[in-house]
Amino acid sequence: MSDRVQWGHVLSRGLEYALTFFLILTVNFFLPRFMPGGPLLSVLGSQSADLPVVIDDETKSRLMDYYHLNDPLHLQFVHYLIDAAHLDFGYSIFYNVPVVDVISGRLPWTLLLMGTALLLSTVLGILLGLESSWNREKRLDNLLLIVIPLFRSVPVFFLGSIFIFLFGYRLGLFPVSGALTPYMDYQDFSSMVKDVASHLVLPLACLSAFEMPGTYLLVRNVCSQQLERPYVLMDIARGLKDRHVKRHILLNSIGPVVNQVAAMLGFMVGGTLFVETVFSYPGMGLLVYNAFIERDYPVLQGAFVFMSLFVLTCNYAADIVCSYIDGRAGQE
Amino acid sequence: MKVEKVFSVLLSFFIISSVFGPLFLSSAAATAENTVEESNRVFKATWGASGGDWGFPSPLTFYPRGPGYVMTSFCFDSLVWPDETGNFTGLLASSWENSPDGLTWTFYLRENVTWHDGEPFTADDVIFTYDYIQGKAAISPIGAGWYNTAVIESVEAPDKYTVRIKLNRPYAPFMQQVAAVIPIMPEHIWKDVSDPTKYMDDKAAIGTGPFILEDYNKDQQSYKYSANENYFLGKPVIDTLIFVKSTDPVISLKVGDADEASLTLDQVQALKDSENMKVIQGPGYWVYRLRFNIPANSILENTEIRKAIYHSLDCEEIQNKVLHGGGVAGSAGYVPPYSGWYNSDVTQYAYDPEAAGKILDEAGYDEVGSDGIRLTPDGEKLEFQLLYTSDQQNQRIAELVQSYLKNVGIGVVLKPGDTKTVDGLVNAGNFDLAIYSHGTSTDPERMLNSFPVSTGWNNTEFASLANQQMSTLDEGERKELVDRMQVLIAENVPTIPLLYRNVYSACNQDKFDGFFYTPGGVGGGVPTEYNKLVFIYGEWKGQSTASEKNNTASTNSPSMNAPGILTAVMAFAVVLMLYRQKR
Repeated sequence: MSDRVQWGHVLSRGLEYALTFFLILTVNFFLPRFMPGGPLLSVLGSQSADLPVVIDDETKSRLMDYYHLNDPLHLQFVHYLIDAAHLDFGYSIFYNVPVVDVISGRLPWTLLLMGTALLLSTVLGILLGLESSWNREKRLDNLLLIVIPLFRSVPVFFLGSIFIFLFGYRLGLFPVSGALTPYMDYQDFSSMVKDVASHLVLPLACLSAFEMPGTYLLVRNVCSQQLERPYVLMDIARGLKDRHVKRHILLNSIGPVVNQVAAMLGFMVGGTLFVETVFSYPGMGLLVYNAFIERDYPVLQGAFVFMSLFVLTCNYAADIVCSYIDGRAGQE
Repeated sequence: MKVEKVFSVLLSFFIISSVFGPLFLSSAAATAENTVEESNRVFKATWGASGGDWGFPSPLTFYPRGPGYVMTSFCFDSLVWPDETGNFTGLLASSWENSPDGLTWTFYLRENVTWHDGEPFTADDVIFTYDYIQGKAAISPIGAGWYNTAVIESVEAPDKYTVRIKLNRPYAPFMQQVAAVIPIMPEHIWKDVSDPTKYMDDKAAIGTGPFILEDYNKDQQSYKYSANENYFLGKPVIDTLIFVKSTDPVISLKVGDADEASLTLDQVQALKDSENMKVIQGPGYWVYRLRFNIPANSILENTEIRKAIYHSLDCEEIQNKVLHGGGVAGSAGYVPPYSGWYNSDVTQYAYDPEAAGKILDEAGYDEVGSDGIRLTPDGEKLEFQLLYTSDQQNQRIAELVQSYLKNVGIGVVLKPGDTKTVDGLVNAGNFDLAIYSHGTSTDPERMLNSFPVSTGWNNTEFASLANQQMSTLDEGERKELVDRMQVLIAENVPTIPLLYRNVYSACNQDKFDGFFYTPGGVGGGVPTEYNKLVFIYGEWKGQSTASEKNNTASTNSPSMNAPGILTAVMAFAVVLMLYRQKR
């Protein structure tokens, strides 16, 4: 078994991912600093703030010192790298608490939402894709081909608004915002699970509906190719049940699907941002959005680092899984 | 065969979700019902869709922008506070007087006031607070932006319940900008705190205010306060005050997730059918204005050109198209007409494109290119860049300004950006025109004195008037100076106030009544319905929380819809089966 894992491949890919991660760190540091409107603006408010903030130059320079904004750029960068290695992303300029604290409160919610959505959309995508290719050119296939991509073509925030109006307001089935009922007294663990789950339903459905078409189309295409292979004919000739033939087909096409799912993660972060904004779900997406508006560099940097670390890790894992499933993948 | 299987999985998923979905809700309602006591008067409010986290509600840790100060004011009291008439009522001070020279304010404090932790409140706490904010906290954005301690010379206490505040110059808005703003902090808690901006211990929220902070949740963006039974103005009429974040305040109000919400005019109109909702409106003291790059743009530096631009804009129509009547058209003197400081005798610039064209002709821009845009004497197009933040209102205003100016032969190139980008470009002087929207505060000092800075317009008479009115204690004399300032603004057009936005909110009247907008605002000029006195003087109308829950459950019963959905799903399944059999 272990001879199927190719350690050279694991290591070289690992190095590539490490380099990618370093590049992300670098971009994270420099990009916001080249944008107009410095970080101090968010501390002081601005003239388009709710109230004009009056501040004199002396206070301003003391503030600049306080946040190390007077240091030359390269020094700021070195400090940033050293601190990042210690998981220290500084103090949020806006929230005024350590960045790690801000993120640790939000990350679990995003992982819950993204994780369940990834699972649901993948399972649904594979099931439907397989069925679709099995019934290629028949009415079911045609129907699915029309309906499913529709979910993808509707902007996700619009889909969310429809869900809110229909299931939240009109039917009153599910709560429309937040991740739990604030200040509800949970009598036991199961009532808390129910509360969290009922809040999860709409954003989850929305995100899954948005992400599922990609997997569906891929599975449909890959499986359709497999259908023409001799082994399928062989299977059918042997009189295997449909179920078994389908399993064969699926096993032989799972490689690209795993890759696709891993690659989807990166895009999913974007979709999650919209879903979280629409449903006020207290996750990373909402955090990043607000941090961007406020030019809260430390939070932006921290959030991007955590999210890209997450995405890279998943991709890395998928890479290894793929090389395990398909021995050729590692031999390039 | 297999298709059915997949569909049956899908169907069961739908059926399960439609059956269990309501269960989630009804069980949630049931648990809530069982746990609340009969007497618990819970009031849920929501503030703004953009965010529900306004920072830790302590004097030096709330977020400087947004309603953070108001969240803090529930726990902390200042010496005085504006009531529903806009006059000051005593909070920690029961009476006060000012010396004839205007330099010494004496406050006589309430006795028998205790902090939330039971410690007695004395004059020492007041002295400590003023010193602390003037010293340590001045570095923080809040200390610098919200608490005006620059005018304070010294604070002393002749006895345990008297405080004497000496000023370094007479300061007319002292009550509104200082005494009614600075929250008094307990010395016994704060004396050892070295970095106040990071002090977010539970104890940091201990004040003397009508509410005690139970919880602040940064991640869920919610606040929970409980009533201070021993509050010196009387017990609040509610027991628990909760602020939650809402995606859509209108839906939250309708389904009962919130009892009160701040709204826009459009949202108010969506509530028309709800009879139990009481809508109130107030002056927003929020201006949308056209900003010029006066010192750097040689064309716009000419006052006549700015006047021509003013004549070419129909502010009333802009207001109607952008706010649909939820505001007031801009006035040339900048002070909005609903303000007590408004001068009605200033030059106004009526919508008059012909007059605008004439001024432009006389200024030498009489040649018109083939595209209808005027040419400068150098043969260049008379064209400006217009910066604006790309939200809905600003976008609309920018487009309207563009078409109005086009009408008189001035070209406008739209340049949208996010708030910080626009701020950055304007601060760097890298713009021609910009749409700015911001709060104006209510006192003339804050409203007008920063004018030269915020417009790039230098006028010596204005500057000296600004200085003078600040230290003129006689209200009548001060009004005359402020009137003159408005005349100068109207004559020189350093900026064009396009419109002022009103503020709206709605409250479930079956539960609570008594919200009002404080004339002059709270906290030095914030127009909000959350004046904490509302919860002292207001009226609780709800029954008990338990029956309230029953009401919301029956009006919004999920179980009503479950059979309908089930039927639909079943019908779909039957159709599918038939279809399959046919094949």
